[in-house]
Amino acid sequence: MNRPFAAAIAIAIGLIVLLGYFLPIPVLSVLRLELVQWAILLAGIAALVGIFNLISVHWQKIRRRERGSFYSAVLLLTMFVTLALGLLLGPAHSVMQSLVESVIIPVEASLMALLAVTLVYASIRLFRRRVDLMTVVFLLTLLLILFLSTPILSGNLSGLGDLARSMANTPAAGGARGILLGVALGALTTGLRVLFGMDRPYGGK
Amino acid sequence: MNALIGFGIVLLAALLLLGMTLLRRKSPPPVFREIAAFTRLRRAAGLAVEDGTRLHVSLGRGGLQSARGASALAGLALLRRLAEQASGSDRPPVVTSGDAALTYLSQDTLESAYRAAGAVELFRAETGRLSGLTAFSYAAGTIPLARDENVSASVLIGHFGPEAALLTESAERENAFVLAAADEPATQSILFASVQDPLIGEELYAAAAYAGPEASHAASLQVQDILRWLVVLALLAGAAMRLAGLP
Amino acid sequence: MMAEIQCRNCGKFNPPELIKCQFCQLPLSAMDDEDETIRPGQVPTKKVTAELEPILPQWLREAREKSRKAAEEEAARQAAEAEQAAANREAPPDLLAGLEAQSHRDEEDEVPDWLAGMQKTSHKADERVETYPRRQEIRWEEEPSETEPEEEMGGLVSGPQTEVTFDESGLPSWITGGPAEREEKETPAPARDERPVSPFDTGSFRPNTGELADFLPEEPAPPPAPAPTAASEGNLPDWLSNLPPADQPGGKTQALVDTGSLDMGSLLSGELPDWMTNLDTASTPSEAAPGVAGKSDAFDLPADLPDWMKATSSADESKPAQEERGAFLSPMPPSEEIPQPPPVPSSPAFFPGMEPLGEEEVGELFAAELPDWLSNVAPAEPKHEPQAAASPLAPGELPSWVQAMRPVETVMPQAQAAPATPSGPAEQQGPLAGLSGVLPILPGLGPAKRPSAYSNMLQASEDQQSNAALLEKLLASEIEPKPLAASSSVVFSQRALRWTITIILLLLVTIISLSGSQVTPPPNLPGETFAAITTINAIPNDSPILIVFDYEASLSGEVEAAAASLIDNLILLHHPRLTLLSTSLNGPALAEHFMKTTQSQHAYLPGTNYVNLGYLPGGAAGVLGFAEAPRVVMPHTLNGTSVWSLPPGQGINTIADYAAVIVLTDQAESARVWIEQAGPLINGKPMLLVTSAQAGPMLQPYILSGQAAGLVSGLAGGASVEQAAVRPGLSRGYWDAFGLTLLIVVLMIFIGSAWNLVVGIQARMRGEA
Repeated sequence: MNRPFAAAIAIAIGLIVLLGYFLPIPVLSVLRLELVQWAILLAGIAALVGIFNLISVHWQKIRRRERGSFYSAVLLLTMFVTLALGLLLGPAHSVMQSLVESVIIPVEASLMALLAVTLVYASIRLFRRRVDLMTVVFLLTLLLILFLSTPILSGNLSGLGDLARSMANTPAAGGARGILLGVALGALTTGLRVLFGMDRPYGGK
Repeated sequence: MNALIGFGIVLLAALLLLGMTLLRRKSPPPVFREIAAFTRLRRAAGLAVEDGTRLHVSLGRGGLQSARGASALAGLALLRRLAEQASGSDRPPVVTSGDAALTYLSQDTLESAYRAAGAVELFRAETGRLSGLTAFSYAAGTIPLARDENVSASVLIGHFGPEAALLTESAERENAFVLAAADEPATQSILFASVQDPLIGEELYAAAAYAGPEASHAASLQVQDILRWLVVLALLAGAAMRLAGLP
Repeated sequence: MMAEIQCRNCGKFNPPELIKCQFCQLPLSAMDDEDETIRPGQVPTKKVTAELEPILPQWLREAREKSRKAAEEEAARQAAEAEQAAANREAPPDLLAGLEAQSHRDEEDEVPDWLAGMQKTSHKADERVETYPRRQEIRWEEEPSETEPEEEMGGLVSGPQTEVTFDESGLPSWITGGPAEREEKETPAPARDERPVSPFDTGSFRPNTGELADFLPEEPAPPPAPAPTAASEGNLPDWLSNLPPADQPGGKTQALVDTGSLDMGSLLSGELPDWMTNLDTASTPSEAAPGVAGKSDAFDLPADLPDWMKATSSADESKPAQEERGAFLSPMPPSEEIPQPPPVPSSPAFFPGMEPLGEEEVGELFAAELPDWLSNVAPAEPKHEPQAAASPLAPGELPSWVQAMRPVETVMPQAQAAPATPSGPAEQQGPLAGLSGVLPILPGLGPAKRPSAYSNMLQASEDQQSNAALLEKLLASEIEPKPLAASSSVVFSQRALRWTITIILLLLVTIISLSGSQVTPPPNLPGETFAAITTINAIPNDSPILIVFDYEASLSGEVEAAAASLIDNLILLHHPRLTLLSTSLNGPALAEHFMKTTQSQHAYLPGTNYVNLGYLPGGAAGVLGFAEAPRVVMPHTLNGTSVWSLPPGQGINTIADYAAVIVLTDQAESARVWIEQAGPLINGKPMLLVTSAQAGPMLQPYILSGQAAGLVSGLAGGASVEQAAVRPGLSRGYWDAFGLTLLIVVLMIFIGSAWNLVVGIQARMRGEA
């Protein structure tokens, strides 16, 4: 498609959805709802096409016998088996459910546990990475919050749990909220740049 | 009422952005405060081109249909700059993402960058990859990249959860430079502990402006500053009204 | 088929249609051009190398820029000198200034007429220079040195003046060269007898000896000039400067000057170039001066004579030789009166068979049609000619890159500095053969100033040198072997630390969980959790409830534990009709997993007591779409049946038809999307949040603002709900393992950080020491 034409379509649809969200104009609301439906549909199709991209990348790795191509082969094999089972049995079948419960959940939970080890390790070695005021503040805050959140202490020493909770909800949440405000402003200007065609991640610029 | 206030804020931001962009085009490029991470990123990207290693950009898994998509768009803007810089490398930069639509946008961005650099024939679609559709499947699909693809610089920019620590860990094990920026405060704290050069707060959205002299990017930073001051004033006014007993 | 082009750089063959070498990417055409190296006598071509500048390093570009500026300044300076020289022409020349000084010493009030007329002559000479450059004519007036008049005149100024004949203007005819000469051109022969006899005719001419009587006898003879070669060295190009110095054996120039009394015959015999040799053989004895014109016809001019020689020959053939030489020379003392110089033993090797000429032969030679400059400055000319002829330097071929680097301005500084000589006679022999105006002046007659010395060394400023040093350092560091970022021992210690942490955590969690310990006290009940319990208790019986599953499988353990007790109480108390919806890919399976594992005691059946809508794509847009029109957005169940005809979906048209919305999520962002997109559309119905511990604090503002009715956050929230309901569940079972492991983690981080801090400080102190 002609790239300026695609940009014009993207900008027009973005403006319609934006205005339809804020302004109580019936025509805009109807248009927005219809366009949102299209977006949902396209997002589902994109996920499907994305899976084909995943297949393509790993197939190339196998074909070129690149490093780790064995795992790519395992991935493609399990992917096709799961797809075939899902098409044959349906997603609500007990076999599909057991696949999720016996494979996906344990694996992802294991990665989460690995993440816990990684974060502990990173915290221990933080002073090896850098020694400055912010690092000291960060580590002291981390240790204080974790220590006060320890059930043995917070349960036996009244007030420690409340102190930990208030620290998490007041200074920590306040700082995080400030960060979120900045993030929101950045998101706003980024979205506007795309809306006005200054950034065109959909091609052309 | 809330919708109208929101619309007013968006309209104000839009007008400011357009005006600032026009002004920026007529004025010399602004001087930003020094952010060491971006300085190191420029050096790492140049070194990756020089020594024939690969640059890896991870755009996270922020879908464009959600508010997380803004961080992904910021990542795409940075990707555009980096890809243009690294288009002449023997090993083109590889981009991973955890959202299908984002994957295609990354491919399109790469192609645009190669075209702008006059090397569109070097573009390969498989350099924009979908690593996984869930948080840890995305992490699991991206972790081997640092080891298998001879990556010397890894840029994480977008929406990430705690799984970002696994990505940075794997990259640093390969002695790769890591720049990480996430829109989630919890993830930022994780990155602070696990990365040498984390970007905190809205620095994620300043990445493109630091990477290139685009007028709109510099203008958007100025608009953010203006809006930030307005928000500060609004918060102070709200607190004062609450203290005064006003509704 | 055209022949392939061989690349001069890499030596490989390329197809003829290519412009650049396909192997080394260097231009092939440029290589063709490189064949055209500089050859002797060829004017160096100034090549444009500006297009190569962008690829040069910064320091080199700066060096080039400075060199360019220096060249411009030099050109400007030379132009200024040329202007000054032109101004000097307007004023009395330096030579005349010396004469004026002399006349002052002699208390002569006025300059003699002939000297006054000399200026006219010089102007006339200047005019001739414009079209016919004679170096000595151009320069001799400009000579600023008062100590070198003799040399300027080739020593002739020292000659006796007693017999000088003057024309009607009072000037000697050799100086004016005017009417008589012009007349000669019209009537060649008859006027010849009226002129004084030239010493050339008699063979008594003694050139440039310094021992000749001064024709201005009042002026003491200046001290002998230093070695002319040294004096002129500055004006010479490098290749001439590199010739053996005059004081060395074989330095013929020095010998010629030092002897001073060397006669022209011996001088010419040894040093004449070919064309002069030919002239010599063709000439007739000087006694037959009147017949010179006739004899000139007998000259068999060599074909390679320069143009100016041919022109002179043709124009002045009929001119008497005396006129060419100047009549003032005729009364010069005979050669016998002058000490004879040591004879030149033989001709040089490169003039085989050439024997020294006798005096008569020399006279014959000079009776021939010699150009003015040769007549006047004959002694000076050999100072260079023999050197050039005797130069041991073989004609070299400069490659094109040297040619490109060769600063033309520095090679020919005088050529540029003399605007009056846009073109000069082309050199015929030697390495400069074919070059016009390359030797702009003759030594002794040109300005005595020494041009700027141009070193072969790269002239770089301190900044450039420092930049070059930095570049060298960088290049050296590139090839230096770099130590590995982490030594094997460090890698081992890191892995050991990881494994240690992993083993400790696994052992703790496993042992405590399997032991069923409940030693740790339950957490306190937070206010937002209490609000959630209250909200659950207030939901009407058998009402539709929407439960959103928006968490990843990795965090399912925590979120399920936090939500299990709350949903258990809900089902237990009110038997609601549940609609399960997911906004994550694994959500539908996780929802089924949740109902089967945590709510199995209620025997809720899919399709009857609850319905699983599946995955809602589209993020915030999907949430908004579902909130506005759930029947449109999610029409079917996972099994493909119609949702809204089933009991759980009956009576649902908008999201506001649900009695409550419970969002189970692991991220604050997901909860915020639901609050912001669906919250305004639920018409005051309660929205409850069950989140992971990390998302809880970020959602507090929504609790405080009333956008969310309650919050259960993490394991602590779940355990507190269980504690409140007095129904121990998953959270209470995990609580001891969580608490004790957390304490160990705190200790590990504290000890490890303290250790690393001490090690880091010690390392820094060692580094500073």
